[in-house]
Amino acid sequence: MTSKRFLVWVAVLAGLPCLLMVSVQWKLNDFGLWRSRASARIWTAEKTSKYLLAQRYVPENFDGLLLGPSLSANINPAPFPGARFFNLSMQGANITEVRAAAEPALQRGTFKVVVVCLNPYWIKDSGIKGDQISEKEIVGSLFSLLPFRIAEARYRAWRNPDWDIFHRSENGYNDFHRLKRDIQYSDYKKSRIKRTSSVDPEALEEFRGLVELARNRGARILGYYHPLPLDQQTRMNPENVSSDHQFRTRMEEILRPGEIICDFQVPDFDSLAADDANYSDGHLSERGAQLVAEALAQRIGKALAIAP
Amino acid sequence: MLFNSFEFILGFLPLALAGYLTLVRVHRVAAAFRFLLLASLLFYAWWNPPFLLLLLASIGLNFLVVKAMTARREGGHSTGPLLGLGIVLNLSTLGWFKYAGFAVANLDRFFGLDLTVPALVLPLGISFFTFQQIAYLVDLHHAKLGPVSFRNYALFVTFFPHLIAGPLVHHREMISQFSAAGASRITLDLFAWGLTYFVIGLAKKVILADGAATYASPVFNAADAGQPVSLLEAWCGSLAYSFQLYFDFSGYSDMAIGLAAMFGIFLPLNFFSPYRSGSIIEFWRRWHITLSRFLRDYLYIPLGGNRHGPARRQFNLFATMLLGGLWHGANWTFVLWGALHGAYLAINHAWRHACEVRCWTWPQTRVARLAFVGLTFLAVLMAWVLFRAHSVEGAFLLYKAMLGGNGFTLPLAYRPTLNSPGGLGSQLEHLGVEFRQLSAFYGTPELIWLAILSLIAWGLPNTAEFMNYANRVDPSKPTPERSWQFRFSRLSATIVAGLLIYALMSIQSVQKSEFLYYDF
Repeated sequence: MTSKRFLVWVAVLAGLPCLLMVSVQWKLNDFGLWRSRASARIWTAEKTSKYLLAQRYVPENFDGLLLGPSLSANINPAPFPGARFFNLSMQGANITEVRAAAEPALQRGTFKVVVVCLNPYWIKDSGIKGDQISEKEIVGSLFSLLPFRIAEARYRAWRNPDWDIFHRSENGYNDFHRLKRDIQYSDYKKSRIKRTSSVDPEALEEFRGLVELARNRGARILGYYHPLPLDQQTRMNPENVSSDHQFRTRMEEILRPGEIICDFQVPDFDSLAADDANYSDGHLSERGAQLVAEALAQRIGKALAIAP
Repeated sequence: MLFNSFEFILGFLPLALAGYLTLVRVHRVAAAFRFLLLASLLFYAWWNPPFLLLLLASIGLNFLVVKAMTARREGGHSTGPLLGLGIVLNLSTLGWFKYAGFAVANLDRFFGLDLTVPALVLPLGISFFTFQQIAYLVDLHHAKLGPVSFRNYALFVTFFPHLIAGPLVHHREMISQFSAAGASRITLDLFAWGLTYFVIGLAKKVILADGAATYASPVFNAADAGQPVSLLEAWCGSLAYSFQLYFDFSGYSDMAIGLAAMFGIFLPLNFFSPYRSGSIIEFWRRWHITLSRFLRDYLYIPLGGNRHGPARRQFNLFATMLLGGLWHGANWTFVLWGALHGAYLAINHAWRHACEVRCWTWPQTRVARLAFVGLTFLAVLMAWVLFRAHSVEGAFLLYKAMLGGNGFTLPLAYRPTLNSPGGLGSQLEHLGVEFRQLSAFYGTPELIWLAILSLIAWGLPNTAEFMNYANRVDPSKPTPERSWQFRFSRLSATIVAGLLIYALMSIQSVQKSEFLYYDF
């Protein structure tokens, strides 16, 4: 073969599949980026998918947001009153990553309520941690490995529907309980490494910026202290008193009086926090998440003065 | 601009090639090289336009020194003082941008002087273009060079394939190529060969190196944050980093060689399967070859080399490697890394000397070779821990974990399998092995990935062998062609197209994918 023919072959063999892939992905419009979509779901890569959905699909279809890390990602916001909620919480995310997704949504849409999970986990560091959230992913939805990962996830979900943790993710709900059903919290807590989390000043500023953006866009902010298992709460871990106090002071500086609607770490909720069945590996179990969603729905309704 | 970015591959490169090749085709060779110089400056400015001024100032000042040295030499005067001035100018620029913060921070730390640490951005490629110009001045002083035009001098320094992260080119091998004879070498054959070389390098970077980074980074990040790392995580993370660095840097060098070839210019080899080395001496002949060459010619030999006895040679080796370590970055981790390699080399030379004196011989068998390769790789891997860690404390935490200081822990997910009838689970637990969730170990996929990378590093021919680099660069000394070597065929075109598509898709999928050597 001559070098000329070689180059022609390379150009054709590389060019045609690229063109085909871009056309197919544009037509599929998985994340509602190129045309409006009334319903779109996540298949895999939660952070990337939520970041992409937040560009157009979320602002066009929702007027309420739930923000936080994995602790709140498995809370189904469907019963929350006062707005149609999308759960933008992400597994393993910090404030920078959640903010990267929430900002375009807040700027492009009209949101009545933004519910914020208050826990130091996602404010302990800042900066994009992994490789899943980037503007590149917008073009990447047309041409990257992501469409193949989605195809693989679709195939896996078809083969084993029980493993499809995003089966009800049209509102951002991550049903990762499905993968953690076999984990008993009573077993897990024995091998748990105790860690204290301090708050990072830069992350705190990012959190403040996000709250202010939501307020400026006319959204009502409602925060709640996440229900940690009782053995992880500060009451049981005196070494965490000062960091917890510092965290709460900061939150109360950023959120206005009346905006913190619920503290799940007070003795009133001990029946929830002390029951190992409400937790898996430190995250809420399916039952725990359901109880918290109901309690939150009640508090949100009250805060927004909506009759039950 | 990164080689592994859409703006480079689909924007800058096609435009630069179109402009340059058109000018060469219409026999405007001088204009073609001027165009290439402008394109290279644009390539540099893309990253941070103000730093283009620094690059231009560095080239301009060095060229003035070159002119003055040439004039003095022609007048029969010594060029020594001007050489000294040139070296001071170059090293002070490098020192200010690269080492001022480090020096001030340490003065502050050790003497409590309460100095303000300057927060400076390190200009891309400064270590490379500074060393290249120092080499030029030194050789001019030794009267090894003829006159050079500003265009050729500037293009030698800025030619974009090597500007940011090497290879650390030598003027001898570059300037002679910026001529009509050099331009006439461009053929469709060479272009297609260069494209293939580039695609292989791109695939090594975005598929292999970035893939390995997924497993290396969490381990080193955890150690740098002071978190305990398990034995398994520490070893797998260090191994993953060894592969990441190799495929990243050798991939970059392959891309540079391929790109330059598309413009009809040959760059020197920078890697030749370094992990196949049977000794540390051999390792440095295969790893970052152009830096080793520079350190040998412009540091080790001027220090006295091996001309003043074995003790002085050992000292010279150690000092050269120590400074080589510092060249990589202003951090004690790099100093220690250089010192460790200096010690390795000193031990290796002492061992060779002892073998010669005592007439010790080793069996030339595969097993012996494997043992030497294994030992060399182990030494190199241990040193990479210092190279990658952000702090000495982080590196020592990882060493502690690698030596079993954090106990022996296996992933919790392996317990059911190991506890199955006939399994080793209970015996292992009896021996003190714990089962716990490991946050920086990804299980079987990680082990498979590391096995694939090992196979590529040790079992497959390197890019230069596969692409028959030696034959391309010097066709007058042909080496026999092998059946597995690259040739133009439908199969190779399909593989190149496949790799190109996959690499382009990976580029779009990986956010933080800068080349590791950009930091040096």
